[in-house]
Amino acid sequence: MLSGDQKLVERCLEGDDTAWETVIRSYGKSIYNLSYRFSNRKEDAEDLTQEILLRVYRNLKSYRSEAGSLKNWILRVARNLIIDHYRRQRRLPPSAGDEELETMNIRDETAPNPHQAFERGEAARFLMDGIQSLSFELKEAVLLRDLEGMAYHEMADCLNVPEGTVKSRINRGRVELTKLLIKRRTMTESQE
Amino acid sequence: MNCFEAEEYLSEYMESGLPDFEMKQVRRHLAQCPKCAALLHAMRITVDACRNYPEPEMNPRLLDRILARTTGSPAPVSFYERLRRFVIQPILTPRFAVGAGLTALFFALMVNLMLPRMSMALSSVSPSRVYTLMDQSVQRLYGQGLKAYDKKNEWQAQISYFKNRMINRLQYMMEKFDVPEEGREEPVAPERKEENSFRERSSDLRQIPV
Repeated sequence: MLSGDQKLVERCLEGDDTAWETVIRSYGKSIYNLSYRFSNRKEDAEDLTQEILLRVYRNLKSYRSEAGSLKNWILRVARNLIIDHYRRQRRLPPSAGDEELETMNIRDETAPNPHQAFERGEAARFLMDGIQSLSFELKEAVLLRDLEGMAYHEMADCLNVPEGTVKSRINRGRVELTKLLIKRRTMTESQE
Repeated sequence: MNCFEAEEYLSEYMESGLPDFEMKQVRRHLAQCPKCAALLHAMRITVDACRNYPEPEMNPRLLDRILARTTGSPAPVSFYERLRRFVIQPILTPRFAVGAGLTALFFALMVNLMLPRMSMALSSVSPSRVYTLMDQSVQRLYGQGLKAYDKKNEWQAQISYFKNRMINRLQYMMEKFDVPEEGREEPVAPERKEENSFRERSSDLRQIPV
């Protein structure tokens, strides 16, 4: 008996374009969000999303439903490529002014007026700067848990580590991030 | 439990994911340690901020591009999607809305200025009055049309006058300065032409070795 994910993949492999479109429409946005949050740049996020989905398309035949859900399998592929991208980026010098521009790409429709939207944008930038300063493992744990809202078992499946390790990484990530933000806020206030 | 140990449990304590014994121990430590309590409070704020972090906006054509690259053809777009992408979305941009508003205002002003005005009052809403008003308006419009036609004829006459005048002046100047027209050859007298051809022939004879 084939699972829903396995059936979908089988249809894709048989050349059913609508099945592949279903896959792209279902997971494309999540992949883009994840790529954007790791890279913090719109162009990089678009390139990464494209690269990830092309890799998924080429390797669909290696998917087995016994090994987990299609979503987690795609996220594992995404993670590998994001790690590669992260390593490449670490070797490059940071380009000034990028972050300022990239904040404009965030849509905050819940803000009642432009002033509050700006304040929220500043707060979001402050938070994202902090997250970007964490080590890759901790950043990944915080992003998947607190921004993507993944469950512990999903994260364990995606990251291929025991659930205890996932919890420990999330805790360390949150503590480090909180301490970092407190420190930065104190420094900013003392400068003012 | 000391601060170092409590810190390791903070995240799970916050999500109430610890067994009862550890929960009680952490709670007891937090009641005694203001530093760890403050850290937990700040951590709650941070996690809330992460959960409410705004979603990045994705280029709507990105997935179409990827589809085109994988299956070779872009996905068929529904009528509503096309309407949303090419009509509704551009209209909702502030720049387009301001432009459309200004255009509408311009046309309204033009219509207001150019169309004949009828002085309407409540008393004038009778068939004969409306007919009279409309007749007056049509007469006025017809008069304006006639005026415009006359004006056009007048401009046409002026233009043709200036054109003819310029042509005459140019012709006069050309005659005065005897400027030869471009491409015209000087006529050659027939006797001279024959003489030339004879000279050419004789020169050819002179070159033949005897």
